[in-house]
Amino acid sequence: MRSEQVRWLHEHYEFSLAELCELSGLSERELRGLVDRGAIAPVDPRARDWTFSADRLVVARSAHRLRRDFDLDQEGLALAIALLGRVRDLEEELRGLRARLPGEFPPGGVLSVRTSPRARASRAARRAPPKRATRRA
Amino acid sequence: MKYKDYYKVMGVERSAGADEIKQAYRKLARKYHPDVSKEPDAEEKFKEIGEAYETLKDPQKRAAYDRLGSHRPGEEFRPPPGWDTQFGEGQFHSGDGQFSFDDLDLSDLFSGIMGARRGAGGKIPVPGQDYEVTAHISLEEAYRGTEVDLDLQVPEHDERGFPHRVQRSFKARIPKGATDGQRLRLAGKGGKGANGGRDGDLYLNIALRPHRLFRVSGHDLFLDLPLAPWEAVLGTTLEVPTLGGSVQLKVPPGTRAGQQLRLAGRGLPKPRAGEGDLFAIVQIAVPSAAGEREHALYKELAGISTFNPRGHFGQEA
Repeated sequence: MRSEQVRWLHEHYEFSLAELCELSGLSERELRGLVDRGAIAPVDPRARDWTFSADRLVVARSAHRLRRDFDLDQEGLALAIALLGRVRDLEEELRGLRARLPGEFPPGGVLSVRTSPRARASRAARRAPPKRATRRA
Repeated sequence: MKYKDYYKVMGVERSAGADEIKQAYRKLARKYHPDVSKEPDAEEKFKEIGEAYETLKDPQKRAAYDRLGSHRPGEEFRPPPGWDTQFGEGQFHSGDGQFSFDDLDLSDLFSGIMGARRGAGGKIPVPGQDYEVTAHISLEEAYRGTEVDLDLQVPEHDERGFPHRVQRSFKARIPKGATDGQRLRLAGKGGKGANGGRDGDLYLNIALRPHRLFRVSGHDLFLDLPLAPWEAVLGTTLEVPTLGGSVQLKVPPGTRAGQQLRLAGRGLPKPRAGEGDLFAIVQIAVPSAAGEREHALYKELAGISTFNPRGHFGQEA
């Protein structure tokens, strides 16, 4: 069995606008709409012929599925893509933070400890009901 | 061919109106759409929902489905006599009586109806379907690069135009430099295009299996490095594991818990060039029981040390 050649969807490869449309299923109008609304950025927005880094294909395919499955209009689609991008960024940040936590967190687990008599006394004082004022005749 | 209860999948009665079906679909799609859902079986579930909706939203397909009768989900069944002529425009009928429904999926039956109608309306190029699969690989495999075996059940049309489920197996080489959530594209390895349409692509999502020692963030690795109190105070040289084999690490004197010792270039390789780093996170490990002599030495240390780790507790803000 022959091993198939694969390619990373990575920023070092680029697709033209037509290629991105063909591979994602988005129409050119839809893709241009997403670019105009800032949901998908070309490598150089000022260039005459836009190119897109290959990892934008993941976003474009997601946009196509969301548009098809939820009947979203252009504004709704751009908003959904922007929010999903934020979710992805936060998940990545969370993954990074989790990797920095010790494998066992907190290390050694949670230990219930006894407090000293001084601390107990001051807590009891805080809990005691206030003395009722007596009215003088 | 196995029966699927599309009404049950959508959670509606068989008598449900088109609006009710659409509403049920929207509700389920919001819950299970793979682009927004965090449900563990979202992808599989959404495929079922999509397949059911695709059939029930189209009056002709729904009528054809209803004519199949009601069976238990998963039950083997055959369409009633005449069904193919009425709905399939005879495309499931080979003429020599050899054709069987056995290697068909129920969804192929209905995409067949669509296909027949498309065919009648002129030869419109139809691109092949894209497939997405997740490859679960170990960290060692990601470090070295690896080969995965992929087995896919895909619908294909034979030379007479009959749909069949076929098993397609191939190996895919995952180059080194893979990390969690990255995607690979295998161009043209998806479903076959029809009427000159391009073949679909296969997308491979990389998922790293959790590792016993290392945690991953992008191409960086994190490792817990427990030190004895005296190792942290005095400094030491010790061996730490990396994916490329053990290396010597010099721990400087006065190392504190939580500090990260960076081993540059000892993380995962990056796809084009370079590598991530390995960070050893220092933990101060304390023996659960100290011997008599050790105890006495700690007591002596406590007596002579002027170190106050909580000096800042008493400071005014």
